[in-house]
Amino acid sequence: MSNLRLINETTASSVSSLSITDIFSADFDIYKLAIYSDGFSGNSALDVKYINSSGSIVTASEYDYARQLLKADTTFGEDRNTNQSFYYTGELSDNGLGQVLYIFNPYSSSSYTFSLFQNQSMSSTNGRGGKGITVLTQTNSITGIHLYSDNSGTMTNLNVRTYGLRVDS
Amino acid sequence: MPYGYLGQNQPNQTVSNSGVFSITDVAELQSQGKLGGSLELIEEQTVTSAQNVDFTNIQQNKYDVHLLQVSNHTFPAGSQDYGIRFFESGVLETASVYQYAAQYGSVTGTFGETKSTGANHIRIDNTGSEQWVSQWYCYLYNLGNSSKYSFLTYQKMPKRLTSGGSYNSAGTFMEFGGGVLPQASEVDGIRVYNSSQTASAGNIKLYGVKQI
Repeated sequence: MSNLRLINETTASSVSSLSITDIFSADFDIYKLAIYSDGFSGNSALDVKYINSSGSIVTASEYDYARQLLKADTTFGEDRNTNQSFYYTGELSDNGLGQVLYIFNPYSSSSYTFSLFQNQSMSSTNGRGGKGITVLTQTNSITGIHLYSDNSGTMTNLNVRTYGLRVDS
Repeated sequence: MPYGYLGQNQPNQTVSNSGVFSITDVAELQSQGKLGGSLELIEEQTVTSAQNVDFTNIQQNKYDVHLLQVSNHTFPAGSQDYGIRFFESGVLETASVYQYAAQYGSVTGTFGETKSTGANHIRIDNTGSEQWVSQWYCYLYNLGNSSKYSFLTYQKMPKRLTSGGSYNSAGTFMEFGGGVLPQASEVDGIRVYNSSQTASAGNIKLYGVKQI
């Protein structure tokens, strides 16, 4: 048996945002999210904010991120920022976005919430990859995640599966 | 919320409450098909001297995310590219239609990038005059959906070997990247591809990432 424990699967159609609540708890320290989206006109980032234990989206400007954009057709790019009200992940596209996002210690009320991600998508006819790191620099307990398109465009399909990583001795 | 998880302070656990189910949980989860780990081994191949390794029963209609895990992937000296090619309805796609982009870095300080919009495979690496051993994995997305493109992301750690087979301390790298077959087709097979050398070796496991 692998150490991944399926906690939640959420599928949405024709949405610009999706909130998934009550997926992080004291049961696990590390979570893996497998995310797939397609049917997005143009290109825009899939953005993330967290949801706290009160059920509120964390909008404070306390997200830091850095990501590398791996472009199959041209020079690679870098993107970084601190004290933002969200963080970027992969590029949405009509032809799809596949992404794995690991989140560390979200439920802990004594640790920041860290994450790392890797993804692959398209920009028009060209491949777009990405890899990044993020941190929410507050120690409030996080229990959910809010995903949304950066330009409020609609995703035809969005599927998110959340796993907990079990740790045994 | 997830199920019960009785496990606080159980003797075989290193973190609290890490996943012991009650009998009630087991019965209910089993009835829903959710019980057990979420990486399901589809096929494992161990090769000692091969050019290509094919996985042709990938259960692409059962899984929309696959994980390919490669251990001790060893290459003889000699010019070669290796990477991934896909089978579409049983036919290997060999045309220059794949795209990839990757970032690499060396412990000796050199970092760089590699990319293509017209390759005949999704590149994982290429080697030259020395032997290599590489550990790598990749996630593959949407292979079974005939109306979608097929994507992958990968990460690897290759190590150069001396002519005697020992580790070359200066030849340690990291690399991460991704690729796409930009064709709306059903992929029903995966080839771990080598362009020219016929004596690569290693252990390769293909998993399906379970969905509800």
